[in-house]
Amino acid sequence: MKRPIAILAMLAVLGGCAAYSLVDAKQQTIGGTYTVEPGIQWSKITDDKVEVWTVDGASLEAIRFYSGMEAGDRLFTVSKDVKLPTYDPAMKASEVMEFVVDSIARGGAGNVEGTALRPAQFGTVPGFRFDLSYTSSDGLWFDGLAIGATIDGKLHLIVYAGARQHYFPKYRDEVERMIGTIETT
Amino acid sequence: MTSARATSLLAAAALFVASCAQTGNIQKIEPGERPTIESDEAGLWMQMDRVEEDLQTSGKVVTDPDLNAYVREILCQLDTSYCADVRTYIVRNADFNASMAPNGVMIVWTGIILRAQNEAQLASVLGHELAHYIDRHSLKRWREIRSTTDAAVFFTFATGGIVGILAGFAAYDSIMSFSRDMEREADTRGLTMMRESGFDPRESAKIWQQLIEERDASDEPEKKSAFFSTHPAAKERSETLAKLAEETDNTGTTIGRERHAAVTAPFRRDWLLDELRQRDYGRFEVLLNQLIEAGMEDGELLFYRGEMHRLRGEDDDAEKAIAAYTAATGSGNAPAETYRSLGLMQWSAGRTTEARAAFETYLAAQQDAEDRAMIEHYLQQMQ
Repeated sequence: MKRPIAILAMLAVLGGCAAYSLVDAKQQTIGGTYTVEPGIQWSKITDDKVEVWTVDGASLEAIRFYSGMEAGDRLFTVSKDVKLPTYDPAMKASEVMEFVVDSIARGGAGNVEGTALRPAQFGTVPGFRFDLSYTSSDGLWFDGLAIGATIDGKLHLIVYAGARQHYFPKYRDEVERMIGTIETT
Repeated sequence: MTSARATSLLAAAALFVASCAQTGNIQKIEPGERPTIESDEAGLWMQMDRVEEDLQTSGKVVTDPDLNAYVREILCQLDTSYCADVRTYIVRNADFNASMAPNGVMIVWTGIILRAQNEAQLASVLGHELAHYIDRHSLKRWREIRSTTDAAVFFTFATGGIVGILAGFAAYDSIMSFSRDMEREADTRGLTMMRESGFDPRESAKIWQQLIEERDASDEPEKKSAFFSTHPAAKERSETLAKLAEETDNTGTTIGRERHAAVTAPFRRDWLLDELRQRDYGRFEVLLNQLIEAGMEDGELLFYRGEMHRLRGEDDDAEKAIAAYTAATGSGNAPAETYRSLGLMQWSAGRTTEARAAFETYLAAQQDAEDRAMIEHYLQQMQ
């Protein structure tokens, strides 16, 4: 039997034993490729190509900043028994959304849907944006949003998700404001 | 259910049951029978009742009333007398698996219903699981474990690291994998129930053969499916079931392909997507071929054949995807997304005229398309 895992909790442990560090409310550089300017203080853990930021705990809400994803990269790993989709620079926006949605589903979430895929600016770069919803392994509904762009064959992606009740709406405005501050370097 | 809770529940179960495990011959359970409160069996039931409560709110249970009524109807047709004692839960999971807990909780994964080509094949799995309940195999297995190891240590070890929904049942499955004799007993009783309740018992061997074909075509043949991992010697069992079916007086003749197809039609697309998401393209291709060969060919299956080739993206997969999408569009019930995928593949192949036509057809067919803005953006990009 597979071992479904709560997506947010799983992403929270990216980086193994890495400890959280504070993110101050000032411009932050993500992976050397783009910057955002948070308006509040977050806590973060960092892995190779992703930073996970949260305020109340990654099992309740988290924003994940991916930078420089290349061919063959995965959004996360679950276990060696669970084969996850890999990124391909040839993917169109529709296929990037499919890549994200399928990854979340393979991570153990249920009822995963990506909706409202539309063009969006990632800083000054033309990109895409879509909405997410899914249930955790405990049956709790989560909402999310994602915005990204492919620059020189590398995917830069921001995914914010939180429990539909209270936590997603709690930081949504701050996340939207922060998305508005994206600058590619 | 959380990892900690699952582990502590089962460890508690082990401790509880270890303190009062009993010996003696185990008779089959009678309809309506409940274990006496002081028995080790009552301890097993109590713990699985707790796990059942978590299962009910897990978000993985398929609650559609028609589908649940269909599964229950087949179960109750197999043996009316035990119908009220068994509670069936359809769990959204692409793999082929089912399990039977001692308290009457029967879990049927959607991967089984997708793969069953008819009512009789589904009845064969349900009958097999019901036989485990009737013959109290969980209790027998539990007492075998008690006689050979320290149960508390065993439980704690076996549940370590398991997290999330169904953790209790996952741990339970791994511990309570039935012996080969129990599996044979369940096969025999299940086949008898099929025959006596009107189902064609010859379908039982067929579903096993289908699984063997899938396993042999898997991209990861070393990775056993959940069912193979707890049900050994599939080939032997398929052959034995075929032989048993021929030996018995085949009073059962119901196969029920049309009804099964009609009842599962609203769900098949989601279940195929669940399977495709596993990215085991060899296995998926065989599954599609089996369904098509069973007479279920339609635009939906051909669409998924195209999706499989599109996602695999090796050698001549691009052209095969385009061919499958094109065939799907001529089959009547192809989903509108067929045209979107066709557009993406044609665009990638540099055929912008064909891509434009496909995207425009998608937008015309899907007036409320969630991604309309992006598809219109694609069309602008191609100008």
